[in-house]
Amino acid sequence: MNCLFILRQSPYQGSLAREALDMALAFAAFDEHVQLLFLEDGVFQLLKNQDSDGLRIKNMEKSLAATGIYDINDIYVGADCLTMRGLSTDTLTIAAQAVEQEEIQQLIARADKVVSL
Amino acid sequence: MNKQSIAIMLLGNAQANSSRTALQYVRAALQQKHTINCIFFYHDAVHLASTYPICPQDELNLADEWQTLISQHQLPAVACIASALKRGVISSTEAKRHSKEANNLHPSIELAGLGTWLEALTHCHQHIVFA
Amino acid sequence: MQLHIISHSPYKNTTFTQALATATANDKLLLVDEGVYALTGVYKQQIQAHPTACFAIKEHLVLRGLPLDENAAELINFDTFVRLSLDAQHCLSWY
Repeated sequence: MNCLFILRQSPYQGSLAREALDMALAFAAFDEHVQLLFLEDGVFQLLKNQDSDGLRIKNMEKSLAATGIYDINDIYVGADCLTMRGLSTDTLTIAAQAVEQEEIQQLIARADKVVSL
Repeated sequence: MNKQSIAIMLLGNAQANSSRTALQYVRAALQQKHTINCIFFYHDAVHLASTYPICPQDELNLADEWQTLISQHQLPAVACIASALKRGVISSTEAKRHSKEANNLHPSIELAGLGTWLEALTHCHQHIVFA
Repeated sequence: MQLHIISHSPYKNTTFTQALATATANDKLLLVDEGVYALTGVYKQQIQAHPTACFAIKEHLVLRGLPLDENAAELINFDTFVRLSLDAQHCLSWY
C-alpha cells in the first residue's frame, strides 16, 4: 500500500508534528511504502541545526534522520511553501524534492491512502 | 449506494468542534448502513476515551456521547496507547503497571498501537481524519 | 475526485489557501465548523472564482449567524457529507 503523509505542522508546536511522524515511521516499520509531503509550516521540520539540548524535548531533526533507516526515501516539500519561508532544498536537513502544485495533485492521486496530519 | 467500510481518526479533544462533527458523521454513516471499521483516538482525542469528564446539564458531554455510541453499535474503538498514557487516560492494567491510584479508560475502548490504525486503513474503503 | 475538508477559519492561518491551491477543478471543497467563515469577504470571492465545487454544512453556518447564500456553496447536511466522502478517492483534512 502506498501511503502519502501530508505533514503540515511546525516541529515544536505541541506534539502533533511528533505524533504524525511517529505514525509514518510505524507504517514504514510495518513495511508499508511511505511517502512524506511537507507543506505549510511542516517545512520548518526540515531545518538544520535544531538544538533541543537540555530541554527534554525530542529533537525533530534527529527523528527525521530515521527516515533513511526505515527506507522512507520519497520525501517531498511544497516549492511555494519553501520559497515563502525563504528556504530552499539546499538548506534542508534531509534530501527532499521540491514539488509544485500540479505534482502535489499527482502525488495525491497516485497514493492508495493519504493521511493529512 | 453500496455499504462501505469507513475508518475514522480523531485528533481533537472533548471540547473540539471536530469531535462533535465526527460524531454526527459517524451517526449519519451508520444510518446509511455503512460499517465503521475503526474509531481511532489519537493525539488529544484520547480524552474522549476517558470516563472522567463531567459536564453541566445543558452542555453535551462528548466523551460520554462517543462512549455510548461505541457501546450501542459495538464499534471497534481504540485509543493510541502512547498518546493516552501521556495524557493520563489509562486502563486498570496500565494503572497497576505505573502505580497509579485510578483508571479512567471506558471499557468499550481498547488501548493499542498504531498498527491497529494501519490495519483499519488497509481494510477500509475510505478514511477521514477529524481535527 | 478528492474531497478537501476545511474545518478552520481562513482568517486564522494559510491552510485554506493551501487547500484551494491543491484542489483541482474535478475535486470538491467541503467547509465544516470554523471553515464556514470562508464564505465571507475575500475568501468567498476566491471560492466563487475557483473552478472547484464548494459545499458547506448548513447547520454550521446557521450556528454562526452567517447568511445562507447558495451562490458560493451548496448547503448540505451530514447525510450528504457521508455520500460525498464515499464518492471521493481521498478525503483530505485541512485544519
